[in-house]
Amino acid sequence: MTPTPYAQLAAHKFWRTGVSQRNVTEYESFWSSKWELPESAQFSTYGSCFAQHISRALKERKLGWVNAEEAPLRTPEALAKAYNYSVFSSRTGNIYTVRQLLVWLVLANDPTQCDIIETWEQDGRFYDSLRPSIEPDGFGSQAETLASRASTARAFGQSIRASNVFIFTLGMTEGWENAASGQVYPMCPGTTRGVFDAQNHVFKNYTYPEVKEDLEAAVKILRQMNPDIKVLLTVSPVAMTATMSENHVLSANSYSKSVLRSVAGDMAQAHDNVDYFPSYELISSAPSRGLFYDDNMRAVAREGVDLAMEYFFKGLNLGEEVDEQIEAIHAHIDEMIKREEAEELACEEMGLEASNAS
Amino acid sequence: MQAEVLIIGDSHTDCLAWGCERLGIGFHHIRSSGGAWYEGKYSFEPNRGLTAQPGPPRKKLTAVKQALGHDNIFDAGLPVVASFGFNLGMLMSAVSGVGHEIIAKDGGRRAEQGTVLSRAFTEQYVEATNGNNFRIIKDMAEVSSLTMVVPPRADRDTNRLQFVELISDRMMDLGADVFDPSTMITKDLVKPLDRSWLREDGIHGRAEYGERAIKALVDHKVIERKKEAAQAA
Repeated sequence: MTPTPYAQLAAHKFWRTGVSQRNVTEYESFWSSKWELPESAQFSTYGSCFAQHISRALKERKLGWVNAEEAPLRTPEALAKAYNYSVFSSRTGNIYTVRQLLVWLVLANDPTQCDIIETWEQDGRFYDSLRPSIEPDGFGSQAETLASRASTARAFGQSIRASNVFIFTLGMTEGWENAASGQVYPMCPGTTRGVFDAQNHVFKNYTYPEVKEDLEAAVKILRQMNPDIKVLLTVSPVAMTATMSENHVLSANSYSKSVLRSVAGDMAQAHDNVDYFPSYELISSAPSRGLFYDDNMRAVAREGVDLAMEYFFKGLNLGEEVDEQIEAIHAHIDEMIKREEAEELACEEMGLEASNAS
Repeated sequence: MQAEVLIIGDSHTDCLAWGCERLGIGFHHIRSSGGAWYEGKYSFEPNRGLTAQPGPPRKKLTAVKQALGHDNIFDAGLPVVASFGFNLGMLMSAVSGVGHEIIAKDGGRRAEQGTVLSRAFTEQYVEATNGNNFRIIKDMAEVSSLTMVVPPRADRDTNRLQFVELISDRMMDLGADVFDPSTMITKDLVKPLDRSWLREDGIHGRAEYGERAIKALVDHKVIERKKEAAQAA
């Protein structure tokens, strides 16, 4: 019998030897960065809330995390956190959609455009419609809001120029826009701040072509700002809290993540300076049995974050060693996995397993 | 000479003490470095008033208590002229060191570069780094006629102006009166003092500055001079 190309494949290319017979903490060749990065590489981190974990992991490992909008020296940690300092590389707040990322890129290149973004006044305080929760009690005036927004736009630009790698976590395809001005919002107006206006505030569920087009444009601008910058994409494994689509939230979440995952994969294939890190698969796929989610099956548990970060740093080849904390997590996860058994479904694709030489 | 005023604070009270000397005003002076106030070497207890940790601060405080004949220095009923809790050197290095600019109350001019800090954040930052001193000021204001004196305006730095405004507002909220001799001398809210008012370090006021400040406080009856003491001076 003539050997097929599958006969040459490594063990990790087959489900049985790559996944089924492996503990989730022991996947071989799970991810390896396309790029050779110096140990002194500088990373900026943005995107949806999962990106915050990457910021924290970089800081904890004392790697080069760009903080272009620092709190003053001696700021107590709780105060810095309340005002969203050191969460991302500048105080953009969560950037859930690629359309939002494009807005920040435009503002970074021309901070004077910050003035055309809406500011919401409520009970004598002023809120930035691009980041309504950036200050716990809002700003004191419209002028202060604009000054702070422009400052963040400048810092956002600085972080891009100072980075070797721009890490962006794709969060959602669902978002809200202003029908008249086209402005995008991170949240539906009225949910945290602002007032919902049914006439002007319209729901958008960005499609694959729209997300792809936006991300192509974003990468182009990033390269204009920093020709050497590399873009590392991840998809947030954190599920949607709610959907405005006509679908059940589970289905809507699957659509959203699928679009983002596809765009990220295609971008990584198409561009040498774009890569994709599969934290989404690691945490959300079936072999992990939902172990890395909190009880609500939406938020990611600390163990999941730590494991994703371990694979991330291993794949970066920056010489990070597995520490005792990670060993303890492994032991905990092993124990949980042993208690569960998954049934294999009949599947034609399983026929490929016959070619597995391992 | 009978004491007519209590002077309490950091190195910025030296010129106030010299001013009293020049004007023949009796005073007691409780003075420690700005660092000692920042580090919480002083505190306030309801029955004992101002208290200090062992070492030079307590030694000085004990001497003043003995001279006044009161375990609680505020029981003497003297007006208190104080200067501490501005911590401008520390605050300025923390903020300006990384290129921050505090946004003025009215939004002010638009910063073209650097990182701006909101008023709300700055207020909480000052509160977090200066909370102990603010607690002392609040307690002192409840048991005495307390006037906080702003350190000399040595330059035009906008962050300094914002800190002074913000801290002064806070001190007034806590019940203290706040007096800025620089504004009185320059007749301007922004213009820095002529260097001739400052010591060689360019930060602290000279005796002439302290004299002008104390004279103004006497003129405004913050320090009410006893007739015989005034005549003797």
